[in-house]
Amino acid sequence: MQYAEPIDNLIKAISRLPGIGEKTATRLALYILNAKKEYVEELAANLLGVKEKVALCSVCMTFSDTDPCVICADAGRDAEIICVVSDYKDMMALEGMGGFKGRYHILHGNLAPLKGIGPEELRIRELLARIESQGIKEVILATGFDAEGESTSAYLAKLLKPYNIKLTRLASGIPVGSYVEFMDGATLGRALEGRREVS
Amino acid sequence: MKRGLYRAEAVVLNSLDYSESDRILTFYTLEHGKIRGIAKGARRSKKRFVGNLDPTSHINLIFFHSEKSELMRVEEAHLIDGFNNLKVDIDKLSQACYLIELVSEMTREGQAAPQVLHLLVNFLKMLDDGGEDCLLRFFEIRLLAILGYLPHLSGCVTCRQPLSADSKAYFSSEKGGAVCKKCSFGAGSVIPISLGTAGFLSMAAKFDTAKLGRLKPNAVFLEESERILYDFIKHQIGKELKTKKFLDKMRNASL
Ligand SMILES: [Zn+2]
Ligand SMILES: [Zn+2]
Repeated sequence: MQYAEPIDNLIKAISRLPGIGEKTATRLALYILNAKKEYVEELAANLLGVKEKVALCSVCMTFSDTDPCVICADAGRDAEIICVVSDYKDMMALEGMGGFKGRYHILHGNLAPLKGIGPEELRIRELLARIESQGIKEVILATGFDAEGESTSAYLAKLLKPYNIKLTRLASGIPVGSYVEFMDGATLGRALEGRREVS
Repeated sequence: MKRGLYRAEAVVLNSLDYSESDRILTFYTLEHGKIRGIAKGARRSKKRFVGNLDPTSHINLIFFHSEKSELMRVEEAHLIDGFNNLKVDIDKLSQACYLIELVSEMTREGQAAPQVLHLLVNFLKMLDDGGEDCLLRFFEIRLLAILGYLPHLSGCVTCRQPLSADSKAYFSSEKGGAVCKKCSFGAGSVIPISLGTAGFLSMAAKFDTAKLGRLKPNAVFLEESERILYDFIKHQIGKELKTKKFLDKMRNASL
């Protein structure tokens, strides 16, 4: 006995979400089927809303419903320090810690030869444009400490060297292979505090 | 393989995030050839696998195998060599990734060829020590030789006549080797090959790995052999390699 086609389609769509197998997808789909109509309408509107109202901030490339985003528009934050992160989740992890008063730049990924992701696929061009036009004094390389994150930072360090700005990397002492998003606030704070200059 | 705990010497060929905390990995092992497994908690745990499961790492692996699952369960991974120079140089890293993707695509699970692991470890080490671009070509020809795909280069693969310096020679991936001008018609799409390149490749296929560094190929060889070998490899595996595209991209990148 198969599920009716609309239910089956929903299960398939949900199971494409990361970390969700068919069992969980089925459970969620049946929950939605049994839920109040108002809730389902709200859910559907929110799903569309993130795609329609959220776009990239034209300065830092983060996801935002305003352009520039709240951080780039905040005159109280130091526009001369840019913290370069791999993705939105990492930016939120650093922001959640609360100690950083500069601005960000989101690459939207790491260099990954095995996945075919090269420099052109990342928001590197936009970073260079910012450095060239906005009087940046320091760039903090805050990609992860796994192989992809390390090689991305190393690549950026080489690329940014001619610009004559202070280049720093989050402090070592963080376990090799760590992801920024999984670090606790205290570890992140120490990493940022103890950042070292890269040559 | 019977159900139980196994130990193996391995190189990590690939690592994919799976769910919030796990990773699915591909290894080439000395004892069991290519195997796939899951490392529970590898994405979150700082202590258990600490970066030892990054692609290209050379490790001692302890895993659990059961008939019930296609994937073995990674229990422990101890680093033999992390090739750390590769990780801070994207050009070297992408060359190393090309080697491991090549091994991953050219081998099948359930067939052990210990020479493949030795070859891979040797070449990763040479790249880590700052080896030249020609290493990739030497690796390709050696891997093809070990796996029994070595193209015929000592003469025309069709009429068996020696290649002559007076007339053009070609390489045909479809025929599996060099072809003379006459036989090049009907040999599928062919690529020009010089006698020098054909000779150099035959030699590199047999040369002692430790002495490969002494071979100093010229620019013609580098250009021809890259085209020929990749075309042949693509013909064997039936698809493009992601890392090859990446290498081409890096070479042409304006960034
Ligand atoms: Zn912004
Ligand atoms: Zn012939």
